Parts: sequence; structure tokens; C-alpha cells
Amino acid sequence: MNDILEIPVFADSQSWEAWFRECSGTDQAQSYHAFKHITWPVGPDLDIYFYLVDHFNEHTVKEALSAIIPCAPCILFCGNHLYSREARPLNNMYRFYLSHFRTPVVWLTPEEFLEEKEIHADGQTEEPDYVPLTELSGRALKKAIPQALELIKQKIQKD
Amino acid sequence: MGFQTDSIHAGQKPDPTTGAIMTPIFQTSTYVQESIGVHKGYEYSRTQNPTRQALEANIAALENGKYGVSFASGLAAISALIQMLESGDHVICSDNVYGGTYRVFETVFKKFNVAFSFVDTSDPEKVRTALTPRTKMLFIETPTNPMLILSDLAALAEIARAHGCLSVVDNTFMSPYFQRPLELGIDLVVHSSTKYLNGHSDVVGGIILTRDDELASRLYYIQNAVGAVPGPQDCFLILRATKTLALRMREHEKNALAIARYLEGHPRVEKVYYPGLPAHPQHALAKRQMSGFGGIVSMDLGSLEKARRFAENVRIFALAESLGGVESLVDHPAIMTHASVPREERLRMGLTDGLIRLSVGVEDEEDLIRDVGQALEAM
Ligand SMILES: Cc1ncc(COP(=O)(O)O)c(C=O)c1O
Repeated sequence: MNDILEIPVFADSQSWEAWFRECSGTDQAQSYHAFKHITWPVGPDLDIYFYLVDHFNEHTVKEALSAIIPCAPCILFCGNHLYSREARPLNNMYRFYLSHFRTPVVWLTPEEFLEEKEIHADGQTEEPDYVPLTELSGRALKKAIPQALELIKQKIQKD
Repeated sequence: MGFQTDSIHAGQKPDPTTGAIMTPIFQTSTYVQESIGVHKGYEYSRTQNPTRQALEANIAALENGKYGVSFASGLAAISALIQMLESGDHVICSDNVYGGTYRVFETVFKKFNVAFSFVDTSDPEKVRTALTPRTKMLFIETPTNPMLILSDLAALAEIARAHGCLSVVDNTFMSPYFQRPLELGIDLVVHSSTKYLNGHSDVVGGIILTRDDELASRLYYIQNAVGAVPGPQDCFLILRATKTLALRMREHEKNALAIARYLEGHPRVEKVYYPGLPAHPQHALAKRQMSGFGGIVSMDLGSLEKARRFAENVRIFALAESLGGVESLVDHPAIMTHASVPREERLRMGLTDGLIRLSVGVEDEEDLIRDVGQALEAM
């Protein structure tokens, strides 16, 4: 039997679904109540299941993902912009996530937008862990996701 | 055959050596073989025991199933169900299940990488929301303990089937006399036979029932391989008790309904929970999927102090955990049986400090009502 990694994905637009399908080499996404499921057969012994969350509804996220999140290697937040305090749905979801779950998060953001780091009055930045994407495409995701997993692995080893 | 005929005869033949009408207690661990590998179908009592097999066939008939697989306790039976799964599988479970079920899932099986989501299964939409590609089992308890909330078994069986996952119902509270989930499309039924099936508060046991050949053979394998089998004496006692299951359940229900109605009109009782009362929010579902409402009544007396005084003042009802026996019991869930549920979670489901659960026995109705009445007055 293959090993399976389940990775919940929060993305700031519908377009990401196409890039995740391209990355996984499939045109199939199975619809569940709270997310779409895309399988990436990474190798002969490993599949990654991406769960692309449809509704940023806190209740639904808790009901649908409360058993998955603790077992996931990491959670992906995919946005055109890295996290900031601005009231965007993805930022709000990220804050909700941090207050309810502990599985590490990696942001995937196109590198061209990474300059916009927010520096607060107190001189602090709130930069989450992230992997820059060279472009918005399945190819770029295919490269970035193993990097994200590696980033988390190193962080856990350091702790 | 009718339920009562089955309860007395199913699985039981007079003993061929003596004609004894009652299945003997085969108190033996092993069986003599005529020659190597030549035997009468019995080799070792973990694998086969005639008293146990009689019990399994009997309860299978009562649940309108084909196979029964019995265990040393209800929790051993529930554990066997999870042992059918693989590491990595996901289970959706009613959020208001028996505390011991919650505990074995969360503290034992989670370590083996089986994931559990605790969901309000009284709302089928929430079950749909919780489904994932790795969901392999839907575990339902209905009605729940002690709030007596129902889940729609036909609807949930359909959701599970469409997703290709197993559906399981813990039918301990209703017994097959009032509810037969296999008839509604559920794959597996489990019981703590400690409760109504045995009914006399003198045995701890569990059993799983199914109609499916393949599931049954996997369960028999686990029963033998893991080895949490019941002893023949316990099997005999439960088998003796199922003969009067219908009689007892009718009396439990008659008394429970009378008490629920009495409490409903009593000024010192804030709220009564019993699926047989038209005021119960799921009374219509109860009438649809059960043929009776069972022997458990819960009520809210408003405060811990009042609940304590009530429990101290009853004379026939005994203050004890467990339920389903011929004697009436009173339980204070917040302190006794559900203390492990976080307070906030308890209050969300209405399980307040003033809540009392009655397991109504088969004593005389007038005596029970008088007892409850005097304890309420003394509060
Ligand atoms: C609904 C229900 N299921 C399962 C169990 C566990 O059964 P046992 O105590 O026989 O292990 C109980 C016990 O209280 C119960 O009430």
C-alpha cells in the first residue's frame, strides 16, 4: 500500500485548483462537501492528497478538517500576497487557523509579490514560513511543495 | 418467526447427549480429537465454544442479522470494529457517544494513526461535511446518552453506502426489541450486552451483528486472533436473559413513559428528555425508526444542589452507573458518567449540572412514581 500524505490547502482564488491539478498530472478533482480532493502520485510508494478548501467558513473547516489537520505534515496557504494584517479572507482564515490548530503552515506566494513585507509601528514583521513560487503554474508548485515539506522537516528537527 | 419466539428458540437446540432443553455451559478450554485433525468442529474455546455460538446465533436472529460475534465487553466489541480498519483510515463518530467509546478512540486507537472526527450525527449534512477520501467508518450511537438525541439511520446508511464506508450503530440503548438498524441499511450493529440484552446487572459483555458474509468472517478472525472472548458462563447468563427481553423492554418502556409524563407536569422539573413525549424535538423520527422509546428518561432539575438532593432522597432508585437492568437506577451524568466531557461541551449539549438520568426498571409503576414524587418534594 502507498503512503499517503494529506495536505489541506487554503487558496485565495479558484485559479489555484487548475495549478494543483497540473502539478498532480490529473484533470480530476473529486468534490466533497467542504473541499476538493486532488491526488498527486508523487512516486511508486507515495501519494499526496490535496484538499482544497471551498468555503472559508470557520464551522465547516472545524467539522471537515479537525481530524485531518493534526495528521497532516503541513498546511498550505496559497495567496498572491503573503500574510498581512489586512482584512482579506485568506488572512482572516490564517488567524482563525492559528488560534485553533498547531500543525505548521507554509505559504506559497509568487516571488514577485514578496517585497511587500509589512513592517508595523513596533518594528515587527509577521512573516510566516513561505516558499516563493517562480510563477503561478503547476510546474512551479511541483517544485515548491517538496521544498515546503523540507522546510517543515528542518524546522521540526531544529526544535 | 416472531421476536419472542426467536428470543426463546433461535440458536438453541436441545443438547444431543442428554436432551437438556437449556444450552449447557461448556466450561472447557479444549476438546479431545479422535485423531490428528479429526474433531467435532471444536478445537479450542477461544476459537469455538458451543454456549457462545448459541448466544451469537440467538442475538443475530433478534437483530434480523445473519451473524453474531461476541466479546468480553461492549468496549472489546467496539475495539474489534476499529481493528478491522487500517492505519491512516478515518472514522466519523457521533459527538455524544458513550464516554468509554470516546476514550478508546482518542487515547488508544489514535496512537495507531486512525483519525476520528466527532460530529453531530443528528444532522446528516454535518456528516457529509466531515467525509474525506480516507473515511472508512461512520460510527453512530442513537439515541445518545444522556440527552436522548436521535440520528436518522436510514439517511446515514445511505450517505455511508454512497461513500463506500461502513456504517455502525451502537444499539445498546434501544435493544433489538425497539430498534433494528440492519433493517434500515446499516452494516454493523454493536451492543454492550451488559445493559438491556442481559438486563440483570450481573454480566459484562459485548456483541456485533451483521448480515454480511465478508464482514462476519473478518470479525471472527479478529475475535480469535485478538482473543477478547466472553466466557461460557457469561454467554449462558445472557442467553437466559434474552428469553425475556421483549417482556422486560415492554415493562421498561411502560414505566419510563409513565414517569416521563409525570415529570413533564411536575412544577419542580425544568425539562424532561424522553423520545416518547410528543414534546421531544425528534418524536416524529423516533416513531419512524423505532418501535418503542426505551427505558431511559433524563430531566433537568435546575441546579447541582437540587440534583444531589433528589439522588439522595430516592429510595427505590439506586444511585449507580450503568443502565438497562431490571432495577431502577439514577445517575448524575455531569459528575458520574460524563465527567470527562469538558464543561463547555457538556453545557452546549444541554448536559447541565442539574441533569439527572433515570434508568427505569421493571418494578411497579406506582411505586416508582411515588418514589420520584417524594424525592422531588424533598428537594
Ligand atoms: C451505549 C454504550 N455503548 C458501549 C458501552 C460499553 O460497554 P461495556 O461497559 O460493556 O464495555 C456502554 C457502557 O456503558 C454504553 O452505555
